[in-house]
Amino acid sequence: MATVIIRRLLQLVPVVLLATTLVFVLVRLAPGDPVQQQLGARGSRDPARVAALRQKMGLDKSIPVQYAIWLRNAVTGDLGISVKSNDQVLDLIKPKLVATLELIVAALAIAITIALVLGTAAAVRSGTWVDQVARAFVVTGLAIPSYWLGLIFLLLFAVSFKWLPVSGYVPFREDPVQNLKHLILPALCLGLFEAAFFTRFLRAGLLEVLDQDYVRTAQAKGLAEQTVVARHAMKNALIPMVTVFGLELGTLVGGVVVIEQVFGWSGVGWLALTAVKNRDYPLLQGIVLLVAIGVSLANLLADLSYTFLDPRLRSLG
Amino acid sequence: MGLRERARGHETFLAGLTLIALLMIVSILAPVLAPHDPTVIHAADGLKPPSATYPLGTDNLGRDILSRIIYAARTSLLVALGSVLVAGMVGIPLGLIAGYAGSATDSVIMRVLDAILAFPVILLAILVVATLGTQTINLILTIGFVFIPYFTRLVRGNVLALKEREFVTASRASGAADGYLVTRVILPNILSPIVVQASLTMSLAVLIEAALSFLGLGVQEPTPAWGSMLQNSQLYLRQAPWFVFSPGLCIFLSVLAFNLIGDGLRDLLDVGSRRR
Repeated sequence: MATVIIRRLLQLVPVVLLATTLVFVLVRLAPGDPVQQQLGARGSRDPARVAALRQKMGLDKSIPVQYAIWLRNAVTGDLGISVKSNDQVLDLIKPKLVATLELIVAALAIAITIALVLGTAAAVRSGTWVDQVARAFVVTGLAIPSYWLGLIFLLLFAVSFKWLPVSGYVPFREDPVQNLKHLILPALCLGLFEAAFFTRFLRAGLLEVLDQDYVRTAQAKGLAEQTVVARHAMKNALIPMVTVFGLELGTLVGGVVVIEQVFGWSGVGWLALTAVKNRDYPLLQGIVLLVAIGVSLANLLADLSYTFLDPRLRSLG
Repeated sequence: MGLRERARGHETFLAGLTLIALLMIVSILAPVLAPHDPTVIHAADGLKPPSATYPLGTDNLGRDILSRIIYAARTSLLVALGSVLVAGMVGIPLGLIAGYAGSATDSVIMRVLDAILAFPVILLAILVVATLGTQTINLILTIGFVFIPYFTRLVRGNVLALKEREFVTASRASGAADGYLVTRVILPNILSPIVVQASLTMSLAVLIEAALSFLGLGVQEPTPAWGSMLQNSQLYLRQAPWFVFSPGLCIFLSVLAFNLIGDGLRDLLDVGSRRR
């Protein structure tokens, strides 16, 4: 088990390296000069100041050298300084990360709850109206753009009924009630899409498992249906779910970027878009590095729990 | 029963097909169907509710919303179709090579693709479009690029499963060259999953194009796009609540249609479980 973990962790290194290289090159191909951006039109007219700042920001060196320097610092936790605000990149990202993680966790909680209830009901009552409802939910949920759903929710619950705030983010520590009020709609928008996705997999997984001999044996023993589903079938049906979960995290983070924009939830996605607009290279690189590591780690965890859930896979690695 | 008869009995597949046919007709006949020029500004008619003149109302600049969503169908279809073509043209050969060659070639290709996959699709698209610009061709290339791993993984997996099968080894034993084996013996046998994947990827492409344009990184004004119309509608939720419905409904129906076709094809062509 330990060797599997170490080997998979080592496999992460080239992935993260490639991802950051890609960003590094792309960002430098971009039109717009961060030095001129920072100095403004007037400051840019003074070649001495331009050259000085360029040197200070390390932009006078070749791209490979810049990358090497950035990487060396990144390993020690120094992601550089934001061009726009002159703050440490890591300090800028940290508070946003809290907001984004809160949104992701809430969305996942909603998604998993719905999927467990609806997916199980649909599989157990396969072919009945419950199943029909679940399938309609899946087909609709997968096709509705989350930001459109967000706008309609805003129109209904914030603009018309005025039950919930239109947009913004309040840290939980400052005001827990306001924090949750702001959280409901964005979490619901993200959660419903994921719920559709998970429901589909859980239903399919359970249907497959419920058809197997060992489940029939359990039923024949006279066990209650709930026991058969909860104790015997569910564990095996969850295995494919876990893999999907890891892969889906990338999609979820993508959805977060858009939803944060709709609801003015100032998280990492919101920060990334601001960084793009400001041509804030160091900030953007920092965000991408952290997101790439995060998503890769989540995938790794999913793979590992896969081996945990299915003992047959432990020796394969 | 033949494929054609089974397709006739497959209701959701037919529904998807009908929706896409409609979408295509609307795109092609846009100049005939649109009641107004989608880019002409009627300053006096800003944010008008639906009426006989403007069936779906007007936007903040007094442009006819119906005409704009009709023309926007062109953008969506073009970008979706283009990006899936790009992804297929790069991803399928890569998958054939990775699966057939194996060993180091396989590892290198798959690691590079893993790096692409480690990126949330939208973040990557934002990055590329923000750096290279928002021209339609860039949108197509970017979204296509993001989808390459989907096709490569699928094709590679299928090649791995097929390459030791008897009909392939028999063909190899009778002296067929590698190139012939891959393109003439293996590829025709994995077309079904590729077609299914292409259809499902089309739906994702529509979603991503719309999301990018919602973020202001898609096709630029005055060219209409469903996503940018939605972005615009958010600013006028209070004054013009009708504005938000039609562009979103178009995205929803297009995505739904491609999903229904993809799922239907999977049933009809008997392709194994969905892989993304």
